[in-house]
Amino acid sequence: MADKEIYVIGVDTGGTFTDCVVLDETGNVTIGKAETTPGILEEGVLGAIADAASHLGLTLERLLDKTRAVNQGTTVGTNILINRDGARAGLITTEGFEDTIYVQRAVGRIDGLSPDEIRHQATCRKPEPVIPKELIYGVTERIDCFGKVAIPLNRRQVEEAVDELKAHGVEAIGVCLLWGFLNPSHEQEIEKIIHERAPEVFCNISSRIAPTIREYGRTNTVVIDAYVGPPMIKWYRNLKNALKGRGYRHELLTMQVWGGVMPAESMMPIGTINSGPAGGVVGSRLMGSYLGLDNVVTTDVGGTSFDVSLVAEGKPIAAREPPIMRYRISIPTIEVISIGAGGGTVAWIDAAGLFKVGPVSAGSLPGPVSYGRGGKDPTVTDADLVLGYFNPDYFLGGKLKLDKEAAEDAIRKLGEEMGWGLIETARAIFTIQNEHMTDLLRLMVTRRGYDPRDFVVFAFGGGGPAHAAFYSAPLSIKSIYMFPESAVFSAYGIATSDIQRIFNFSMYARLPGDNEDIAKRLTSAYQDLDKKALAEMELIGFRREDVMLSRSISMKFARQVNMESIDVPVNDYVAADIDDIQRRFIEYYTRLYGEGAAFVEAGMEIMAQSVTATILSPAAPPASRPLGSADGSKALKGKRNVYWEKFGDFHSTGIYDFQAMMPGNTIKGPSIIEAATTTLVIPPDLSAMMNEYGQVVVELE
Amino acid sequence: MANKEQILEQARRMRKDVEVSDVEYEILSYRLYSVVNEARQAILRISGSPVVAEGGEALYALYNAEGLGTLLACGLLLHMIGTQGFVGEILDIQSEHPGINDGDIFMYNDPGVGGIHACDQWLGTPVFREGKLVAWLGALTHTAETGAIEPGGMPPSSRSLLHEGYRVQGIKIQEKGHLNRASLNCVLRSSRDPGYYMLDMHAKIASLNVGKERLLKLMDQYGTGKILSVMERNIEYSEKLARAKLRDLADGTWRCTIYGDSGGSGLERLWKISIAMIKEGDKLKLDFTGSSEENEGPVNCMAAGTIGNIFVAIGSQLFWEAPWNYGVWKPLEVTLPEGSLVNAKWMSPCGMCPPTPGTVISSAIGGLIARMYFTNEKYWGDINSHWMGCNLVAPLYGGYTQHGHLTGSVFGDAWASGIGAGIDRDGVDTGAAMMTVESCITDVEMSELTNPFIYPWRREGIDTGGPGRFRGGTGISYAIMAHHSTPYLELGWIGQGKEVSTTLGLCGAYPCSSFFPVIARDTKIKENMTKGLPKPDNVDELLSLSGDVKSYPSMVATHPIKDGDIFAFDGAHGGGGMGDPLDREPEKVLNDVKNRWHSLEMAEKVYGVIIEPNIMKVDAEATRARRDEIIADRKMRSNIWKEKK
Amino acid sequence: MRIHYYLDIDKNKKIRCRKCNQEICDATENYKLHVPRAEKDPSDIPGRRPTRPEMCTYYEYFCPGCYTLLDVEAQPKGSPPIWDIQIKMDCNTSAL
Repeated sequence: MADKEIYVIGVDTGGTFTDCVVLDETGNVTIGKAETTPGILEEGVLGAIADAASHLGLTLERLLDKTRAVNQGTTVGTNILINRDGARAGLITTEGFEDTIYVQRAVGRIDGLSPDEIRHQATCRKPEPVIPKELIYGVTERIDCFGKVAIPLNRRQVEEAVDELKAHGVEAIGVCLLWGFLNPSHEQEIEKIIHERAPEVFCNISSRIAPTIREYGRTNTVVIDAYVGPPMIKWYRNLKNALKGRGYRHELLTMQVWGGVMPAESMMPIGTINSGPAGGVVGSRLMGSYLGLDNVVTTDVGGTSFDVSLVAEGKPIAAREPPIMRYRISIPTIEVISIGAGGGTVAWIDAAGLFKVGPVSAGSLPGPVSYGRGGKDPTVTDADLVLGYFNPDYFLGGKLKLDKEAAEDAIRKLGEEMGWGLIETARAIFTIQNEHMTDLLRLMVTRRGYDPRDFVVFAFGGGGPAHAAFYSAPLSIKSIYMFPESAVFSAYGIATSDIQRIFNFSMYARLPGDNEDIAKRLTSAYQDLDKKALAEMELIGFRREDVMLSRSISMKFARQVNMESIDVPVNDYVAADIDDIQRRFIEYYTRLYGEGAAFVEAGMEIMAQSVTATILSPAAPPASRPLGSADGSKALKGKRNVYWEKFGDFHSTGIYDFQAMMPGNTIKGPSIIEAATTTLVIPPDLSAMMNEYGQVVVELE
Repeated sequence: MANKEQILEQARRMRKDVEVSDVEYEILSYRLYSVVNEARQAILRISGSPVVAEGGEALYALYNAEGLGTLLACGLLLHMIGTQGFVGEILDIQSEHPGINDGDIFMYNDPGVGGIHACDQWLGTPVFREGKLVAWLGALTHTAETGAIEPGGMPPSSRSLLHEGYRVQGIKIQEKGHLNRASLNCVLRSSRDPGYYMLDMHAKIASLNVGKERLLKLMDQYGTGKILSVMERNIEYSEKLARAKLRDLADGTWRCTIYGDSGGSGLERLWKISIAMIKEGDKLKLDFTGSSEENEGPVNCMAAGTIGNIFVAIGSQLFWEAPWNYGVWKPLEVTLPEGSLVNAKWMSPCGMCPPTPGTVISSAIGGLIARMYFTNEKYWGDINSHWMGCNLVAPLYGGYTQHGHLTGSVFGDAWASGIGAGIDRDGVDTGAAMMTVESCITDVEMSELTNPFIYPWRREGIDTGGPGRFRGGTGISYAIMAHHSTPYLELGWIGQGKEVSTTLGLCGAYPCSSFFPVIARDTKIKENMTKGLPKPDNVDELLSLSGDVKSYPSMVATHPIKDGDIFAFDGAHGGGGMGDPLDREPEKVLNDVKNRWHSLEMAEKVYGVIIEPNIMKVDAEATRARRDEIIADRKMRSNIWKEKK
Repeated sequence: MRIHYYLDIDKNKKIRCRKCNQEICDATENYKLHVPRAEKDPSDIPGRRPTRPEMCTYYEYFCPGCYTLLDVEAQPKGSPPIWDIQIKMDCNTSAL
């Protein structure tokens, strides 16, 4: 008889460390960490869980015995793409279009690059497709834009292609035909032939994994899924068995990039790529919901990049035709945008004598000058150090001693070219970096039709809390949050993630039209999707009554190329609902692109439908402690001189120990709070308070 | 009403004496850049035109009060300088009457004033602060229907500017914030497809609104004078960067001549563009003396068109580091002989300007810049061989779509053109059009959704890239077939260079292959398809069909077509190579063959690489022998050139 | 100074082949007048090619030492060599 199952575990396998978060039924968080073990990743996972178990005074087996869910996020897929060591995979496609993933709509040259990189036309290259041309087979068949068969499928060619691919030793075959999403019959027939002739081969078809228009993204999705699928599935089996062997009794759930977890057997291998950051956003959404915050900008300042994503009206924002590793794909994805503005971002002077910060980065190797690893160019971290924001003896909790003198020399030397002194130069680096970050924040919020004043900022990463007040204040952001789980927030998000899967369909209708008929067709399209979703979730092993369904619809104005999506209610539709959908679409469009952008006279087109099936996570809300005294002086660990723009000079500033702070403690700026993994900078005139969840909140209003 | 001088004097006063520190400039110039890029993205999202929404054919620019470009969004380069002419004329003739007011939107598409050809349609709006005009925003899209004598905006049969559709001359389509239906109708009622037209109009209006709102907010926050000063400084900054780069390179003269073979449909004629690029210190002169007389047909540029195509090469290949604006133009001096095809006379046809001779101009200058780059090691990485020389082949069609509306449109697949090779790399295959740094072609499905055609194939065209030590990028090869039995369809195409080599190689690479258009009519294709028989999958298979199947000249006017007719566009779109093909590593040639970038025949004849076709391996010994044979042949065939008396 | 993938201008202001070090001519001259040239029928190169020499033929220029292909012009038959690279030797740019 098992003990009461009280734990929920989230594991995030990163490049260097595997993070683990264990939540108990009261929301208490225990953190575990282990080094990632390349090749045998399950050891790192077990190690991280065991580490957390030890903090709870338990053995690994005992913890797993008391655990009701293990969720994991993994970089296995990402690493396969980076190292190019995926499965030997083939592709079957419509004859005449074998080169689609090579042509890459020409735009593959610049997908995933910044405007600065794109301007340098001579140097933009395409990423190399993961399937060589010799393993791409075209077969005679054709479906037209109405889903009608223009050329029937030539089965004999398919059989030959499968046999040849087998002879080439492929482990996986992807199938993507033109218009296959609209009429999947040929793709399904090909899949059947593959199963018959090569039952051991991993096979996927585009109409199942990415049933949306645009063959380039859809083919990429199929191809990458085939490439990462077999090794990924092997890894899952290994981990599942390892956990089972240590007493875990439930499904292992895996994070997917659209922001939910799925059981190993029905997860999408491609969906694991970039799922770590998605985990962070999911965690932010959930945390926001506990805090009563619907609108959150999540910000993460790492070594090389500044990553931003949005939770608006309680939901993460989905990306449009997202790229993974510069390959445009078509599965739903939480949008996370990066610019080259991290701690390692380098300051330099261009040919016209203008002072620049980024986008070039020194990364972590050689890294900032102050790391003493051979970096020569002054970076943002070096400026943070010179201005007193960072503590040379307590950077990342003291794990890395920073060489302040070296940072000063490098910055002084660069400044001399501009005729600036040390501090002036460091201030320029700090300010320019913050303003670039502000630009990205502003862009993310406004281009989705929102107002930054309605948002709070969650600050993650080693550099996030140090810069957050500076990049948030110019936008009149309401407040900034720093979390005790900051360092393992992706794992927290993974642990608390709902089970989620998105089902798509393409039903076309023109508006205005016969509303009654459209309502009927739409109702039936959604009912079919609902049925499919429930059946699939049941097949996976969930109970129908636990599944929550939500719907969205993709539309555009007639003749337009791009679509936008809005939510629609889950019910049967009548004619009036169609009017309502039109009205709400116009409203949404106007909010996005402004008055006059909507071309109402042209009419509208319904292009696609999607249903999201969700099963809520069993994870408990964070544990709270009552608010105590506002006096935070007990956490004061010393003073040092810190540069403040308001005073135009250095000023003796209180340094506080995050670990020693208690809920209710309020600390007035200027001051600095140091945690083991990050540093929170509180400028003059602002103050920070620790709330009941142990989070530090800086009010900017 | 204030006159032009008063308006400009007020604007100058607004920006005078506002100090901008280096740090402020870096921050605010970046912010302005982010604003114009965001506004341009709005056009792409809203537009109904595939060449805009997906091909990226949209310009978004911020001008100062006088109309000088201070900042161009990343994207279409062609129109930065030309569109300045529009603002200039508005100021000249409308300042007093009817007056320039807040909320006005002006429209232009006249190539004689500042545009390129009638398809390129500009909307511009003044930005006001405290009741004074301080700046302009402009948005331009390629609008593929101009009410010309043929559908699709670029009539191959044009013999006069009057054949190329309506030309709008700065009318206000919006006055003080309200659409002017009457002026709008002048345009709408001249077009074959007003619905499509309005969508692009909405896209541009929305982008001007987005840009203006963001710009005003910045002015609120930092002060009008400061933002205006940053705009002015953008021009100075770009000029400074441009001149610094020029000073880094050797002085000299580089020359290039490229030929075309068509002056329009029915006008097969050899013409040439000759350019001498003279670099002295921090100045660059481009002298087009020696270029042909203008064509009788639409293969001409007005001066603004030539300047636009020069800017394409200069902006993308030479001064890519600098913000694209009037500043990068300042070190340049251009000589365009009057009455030549680079400076056509008033009322001459010029509908083909951007594809041809425009791309020849950009391609030639690109190659000249590449030659100049050799003189400083610092820039070797920027060397790109010639590319895009007349490679912009585009089918135009009109008639009824499968959805029942009348339209005129154009296919933009040519944007997947091979890029020139560098000195350490092959050119990008199916890469980009030089004029649009964000080049993108539509998915076949999106194209088939809008147009009454299906594609029999779209693939990388074998042997299209220029063979060399580094191979030029492969161009796209594709075909379209009328499919939906709609009531009426007509089709023609623009193209160039069937009987010449428009895209050259550099330093010993052979030119790219030539354009080879084919029409297949009266074949049994439709019948065969329903039986499940393989359809033609490339041009050679198409040519083997029985029926009326043959190749046509470079340019063909639109003419009625039937369901099942196939139009194939092969051979074009390759990028130039670099260096002697005999220097290419045999293994790389093998890889080219495996990937269908080159044929076995090319490997053997030009690269001297012998591949055993059954096992797809290089025969090293036979390769050595073949290469020796080629060298011996070179010695035998060649002698020093002597002028014949 | 390098002026071409295969050509340099040396200290003595002579154009020289980078591969075989063959001296070609003075830096002030058109190298194409000092190297062997041959006409090549475009149809000898695979791919779609021009068919009428009066409109377009290819002129090849070789290094007189190693017979490396230095340049290919596409011109109407009978056209003289184009002077494509003419470096000004007495100038003050940082490139020299």
